[in-house]
Amino acid sequence: MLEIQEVNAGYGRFHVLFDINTKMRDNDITVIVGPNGSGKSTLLKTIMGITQVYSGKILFNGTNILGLPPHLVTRLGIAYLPQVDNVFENLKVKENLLMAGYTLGKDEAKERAKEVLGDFPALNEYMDRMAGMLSGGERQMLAMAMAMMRRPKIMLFDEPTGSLSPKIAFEVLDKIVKLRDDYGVTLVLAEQNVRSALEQGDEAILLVSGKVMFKGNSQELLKHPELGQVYLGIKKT
Amino acid sequence: MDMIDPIVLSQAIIYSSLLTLLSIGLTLTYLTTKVPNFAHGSLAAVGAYVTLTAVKLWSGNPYHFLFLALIIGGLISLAQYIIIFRPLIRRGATVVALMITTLAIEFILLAVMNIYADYLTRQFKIRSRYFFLSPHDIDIAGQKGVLVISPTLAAVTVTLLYLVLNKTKFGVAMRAAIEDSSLASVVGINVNMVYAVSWFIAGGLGSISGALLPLWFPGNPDMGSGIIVSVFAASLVGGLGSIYGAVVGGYLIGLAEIFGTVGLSLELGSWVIPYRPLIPLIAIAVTLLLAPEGLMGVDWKGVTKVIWDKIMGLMHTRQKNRAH
Repeated sequence: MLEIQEVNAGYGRFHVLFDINTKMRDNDITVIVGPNGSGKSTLLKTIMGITQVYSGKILFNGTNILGLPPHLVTRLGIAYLPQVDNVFENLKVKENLLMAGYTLGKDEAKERAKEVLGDFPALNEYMDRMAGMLSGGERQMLAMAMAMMRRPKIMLFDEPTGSLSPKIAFEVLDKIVKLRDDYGVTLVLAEQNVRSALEQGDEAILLVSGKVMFKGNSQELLKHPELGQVYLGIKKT
Repeated sequence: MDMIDPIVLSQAIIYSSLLTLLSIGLTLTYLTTKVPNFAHGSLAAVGAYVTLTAVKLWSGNPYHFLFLALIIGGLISLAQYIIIFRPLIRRGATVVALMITTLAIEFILLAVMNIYADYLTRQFKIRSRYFFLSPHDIDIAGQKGVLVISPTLAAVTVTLLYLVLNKTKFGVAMRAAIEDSSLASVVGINVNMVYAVSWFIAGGLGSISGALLPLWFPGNPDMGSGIIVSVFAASLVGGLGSIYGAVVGGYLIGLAEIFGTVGLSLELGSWVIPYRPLIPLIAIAVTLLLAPEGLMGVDWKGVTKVIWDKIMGLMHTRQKNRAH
């Protein structure tokens, strides 16, 4: 379980998150939504140790991970997939996978690569291609495969369907949900495609100007008479 | 056309090979930490004085002490990164602030080298200014050792770097950290460790280069300040974004400096020799104007296509004119 307690964070003097309190339960899909600039990405980065935290605690299975450098947070079993720049464009696909398994032994890395290529078979065709040459959907698949190389307990996705066509976005989201179903990975999604993400999610957090405005069941937020319409542009059906 | 003087040719080969080693190091630290290190040249002075001390106090030829020079230069460079640059980068220091810091380090290293040179002279009666290690050089196949070892060392370094960067997990991690340090850290790479290693390698290469320089060129505490413009020119001409560019730039600038100065002094007189530093400065200016990303940043396929199209166009026009 990931628990965020009274976290205030930002970038230098630019305070972005204010007194964030929330929990992400094991095997749940938690969807973080909110208008542009509300702090969704910053919350994920804060968990990873990329931002500056002014106060608070982040407990991962009871251990405070605040202050740990990102590579150590990763080694604890938390994977983060950034919104953009989520693969090494100047490395080949196989080198990207090698880097994703950087902390693993040689044999273990080989074994994991075989496994993830089974889940993302399309990548087999591109092993010697530079990751920068892949399409948006293929890149997202590679990013997910990279994260799965480390068999994480939690995966933090920063707008995974952001720049994809609706069809590819649906496929990617479907694949993400399968990760939870097949491997029991706890998923946290910061999403712009609010409706489809909330439909797939268990829990939802609505962030507005760096503050938690709503916390609860994602279906509840989807059907909320005001919040969805005012902050997320969800039209009543 | 006159034959090239073998001494000038030797000088050009040695100088450009050692310049290449220095520019690989400068490029490596710039690529990883974005620090334009003006103190990098002084590591050459460190290497020169390590070799001078070892050769005079323990005897043997300078090549016996190359590894010692690599370790000492590497450790000084590593200390710079850990003690000074890493904390500054963490605090969000700008490139300008980092550059000014490197200038400060350059002054400190220069002062230390001067003090050390005086110490060597006073304590051990060793000539420590404008010194040469050439009397301690060895012969390899009838040639001065430095003439064979300098280009060999440059070739071995480039080959090793290529193999490490492409065939080892740590090397690929280095490329990954160079491309995107943030992503590298979230996939589990200890980026600080990668940067520390690159600073060590850079310092070691600079120091080895300096250890060999006095076998042909005079060694002095300020030899680093003297060569740093050429090192920057080599890295810029090749492209600060590419280690292989540093190799191309190192040889281009090195050869241009030696042949250019000798050629111009033969044509115009020896008064041009003190103006030798103008050659790398002109190379920097021309590169920044025409190809700011250096030779490795140029789209050579595109350039070749444009030239080819122009030639074909000209030939076509000529054929048309002849037909008329």
